[in-house]
Formats: sequence, structure tokens, C-alpha cells
Amino acid sequence: MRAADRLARSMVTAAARRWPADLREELAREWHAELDSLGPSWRGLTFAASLAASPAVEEPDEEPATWSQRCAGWARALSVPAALTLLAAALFNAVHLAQGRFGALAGGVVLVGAAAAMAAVGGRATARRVVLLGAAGYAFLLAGNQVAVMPFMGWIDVGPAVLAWTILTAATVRLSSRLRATGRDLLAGLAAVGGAVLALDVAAAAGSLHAAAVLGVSAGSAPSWFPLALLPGGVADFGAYFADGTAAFGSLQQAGPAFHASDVLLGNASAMIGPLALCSVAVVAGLLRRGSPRIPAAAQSRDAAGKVALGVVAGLGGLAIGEVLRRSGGAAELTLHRLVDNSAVFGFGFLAHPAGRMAVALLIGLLVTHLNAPPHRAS
Amino acid sequence: MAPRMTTSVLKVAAALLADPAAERYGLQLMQATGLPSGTLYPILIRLERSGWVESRWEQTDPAAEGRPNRRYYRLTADGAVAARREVAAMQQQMAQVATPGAQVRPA
Repeated sequence: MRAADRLARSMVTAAARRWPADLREELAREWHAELDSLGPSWRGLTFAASLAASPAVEEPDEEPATWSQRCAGWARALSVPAALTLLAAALFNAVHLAQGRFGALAGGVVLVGAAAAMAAVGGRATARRVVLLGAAGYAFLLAGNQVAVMPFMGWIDVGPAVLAWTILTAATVRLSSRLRATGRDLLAGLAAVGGAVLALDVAAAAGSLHAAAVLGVSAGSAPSWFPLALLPGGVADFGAYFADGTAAFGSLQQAGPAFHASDVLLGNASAMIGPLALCSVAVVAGLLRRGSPRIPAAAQSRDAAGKVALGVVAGLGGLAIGEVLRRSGGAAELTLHRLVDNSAVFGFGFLAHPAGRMAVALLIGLLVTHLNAPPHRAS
Repeated sequence: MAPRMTTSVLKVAAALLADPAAERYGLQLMQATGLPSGTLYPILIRLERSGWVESRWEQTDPAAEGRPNRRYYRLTADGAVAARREVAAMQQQMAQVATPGAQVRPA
């Protein structure tokens, strides 16, 4: 039972650390003394586990947070990154739709507008929020290909891309925040922009290495994949040339126009990295405007019933948006054409299922309710 | 400020009221109330912050006792009065639920 005793003691030590600083030492001492009385036993383990799982009192005059309150806090914390990811994907699809229908110039204009919109709604930039954004992005990209559209959008592609983006972007947030804290604002801004671009470049490369190996494209060109993925198709061609227009890579089994391996690689990378790029814009904007946080003026006055009503209305609006996105989604049989001119619309395959549309509506309802709640210290 | 009254808080108050002068340590109160440690200790801290409960560390020689010193809790004088009032109010409510329409005098 020595291992059980060690585990129990480490649990009570960790549990005590969650309490306010003035209580920690005494609580740890008290709980270790109780463990001594219990001896190495399962009772000791359950004693420690209960303390480890219980919510701590946050402040001297505050009630302990209940599990329902904690769950509400988590829902609030998760709803913003999830909604930002969905918005980024929807906006990037709008860029590709404009580019596909009206040309590269229109696509560029919409891209600038999308970036401005993400910068406006980005909110605070913290390493924790970046990690949550990464988790939401991973889930979105995997779920988005439920109706198989993209040839290389499995965990082996999405995983390295999102992991690289998350780690490097979180590091960028840390670095920029530290520079800002020491008064070096210009350097902090440069670090924010430079770090975000580096994170996207590495993420595009990491997420496309598997595709490059399958397509026979040299990894030596990897640093150029991110910028090229944002440009219309055909700007730069490399890799094998498929004159007969027959593709059989990953989930892509189609015949279309003649193409280069780079067209498939960059079109696929674009669908993956586009939403992440717009999320990066939101993060960088949050870092650049740190000194003047915006607080919604209407947040204080709305009562609980009003917030719920607003959430329900927003949820219904979310259902409508989901329907629009579903109808404008990528048709699998046109994938090769859209990869070649880099105008693929991707990422909302889960809206084909009613459960997916309901989840989006619930998320939007939660988000709107959250944005209308009074500022919460713990969120 | 009075602590928020919940069933668990009332259980702890009732256990301490069983002998208001007696000092008890956490494991004893867990046995008396049936509450797990993760529920009991936050309540004890809330009660102590509200002035209902006071605690002290026992002053013994750990080497002689063969165990570390324990932390003991007991009701303060004000806490005992307030706890009696709250427990009585709860008993009154329970009695009204059990016999609807019955008039129960406050304790």
C-alpha cells in the first residue's frame, strides 16, 4: 500500500495548492495528519481523492464553486474559442467562394475583410485561449471532413498542423506578453506578428508532409507552402504533372483537368491552414491591443430571462446559418477542380447531420448568452 | 456574514451541536455527518470564516504520540446560538412538510 499512500499524499498536496495562499500550508498539514490516522488504506485514497475533486473556495467572502458552476465556467471558456474557429472557417470559405466566382481580386478583398472581422471579435489573447483554439480547430478540421471532401485531412495531417500551430502560437503569446510587460511595445508587436507567421508556416508544412510524401513532392519547398496556400491556384506549380487529370490520392478518386501535384498539396493545405490563419489574426489583434480591453457596454443591465431569450434567438439564428453553410458546402465531386484553382469550400461536413446543426446552434446560443453576462473573474 | 445554509452545512452544524463544548477533528466529523472530505473541509472553512467555528492545533509531542498533531474544531458561542437557530428552523420546516397545516412553535 506504499504506492497508494504516496498517491494519496500527492493528491492532498495538490488539492491544498488549489486553495487561497493563506490557507494552503495549514490545510496540507491538517490533511496529511488525517492521512496518518487513516494509515495506508483505501480510506486514505478516497479521503484524498474527494479533496482533489472538490471545488476550492476562491476568495475569503465567496461561496465554494459547485460543480454546476464549474461546468458553466468551462462552457463559457470553451464557447468562445469554438465559435471563433467556426467563424474563421466560415469567413475563409467566403474568401474561397468569392475567389472561385469573381476572381482573385474579389478573393483578396474578402480576405482582408475576413481578417478585419477576426481582429475585431478576437478578444483577449492568452496562451490558454490559444490551446483551446487549437483543440477546437483540431475537432473542427476532423469533423469537417466527415463528408469526405479533402484528400489529406486525417489525423496524420491535421494533428501535426494543429499541434505545431498551438505550440508556436502559445509561445508567441507568452513572449509578446512578456515583452509588453517590460515596456517594449514595438518589440512585443513584432514578436506577435513574426511568431504568428512562423507558427502558420511551420503548421502548413507539418500538416502537409504526409500529403507531400504521397504526392512525391519534395519537402524542400515546405517553407513556401503556407504563402502559396493563400494564393489562387496555378501561381507556382511543382511536383509531378498529371496530364490525364486522374487523381487517386487519399480520399480523392476523381478525374478532372490536368494538374500538378502541387495543386492538390496547396489546395489541401489551404483548407487546413486558412481557418488557423484567421484565428492567428484574432490572437495577434488581441496581443496588439492589450492595453485597452473593450468591455461590452450592454453587459450589465440584462436580466437572466433576457439573456436566455437572447441565447435562444441566437441559437435559432445559428440553425439558419448552419443550413446556409450546409447548402454552400463543398460538393465532393468537384473537389479536384476546386483544389486546382484553390477555391475549395471545406469544413462543415458535420452540418450534414442534424446533431451537427444542433450543436452549432447550441454553441452560438451559449456564446451570445456568455457575451451578455456580466464580466466574470474566473472565466 | 452568515454562511449559506445547505443540507450538508446543517449536518455539520448538528454534529457540532451534539456537544458544543467538545472539540472534534476532521475524521470524527466525517464519521458523524457521513460527508466526504471534499465536502466537509470546505464547509468547515466557510463556518470558520463566518465566525461560527474556531479551530486550534493540538499541542502534543508528535514523537510521543506517534502521529502528527491534529487540528480540532468547535463551535464559538455565537456560532452555537446561530447554529441552534438554523437547525431548529430546518426542523420546523421538516415538521411542516411532514404534517401539512400543523402549527409548530419556534424552538
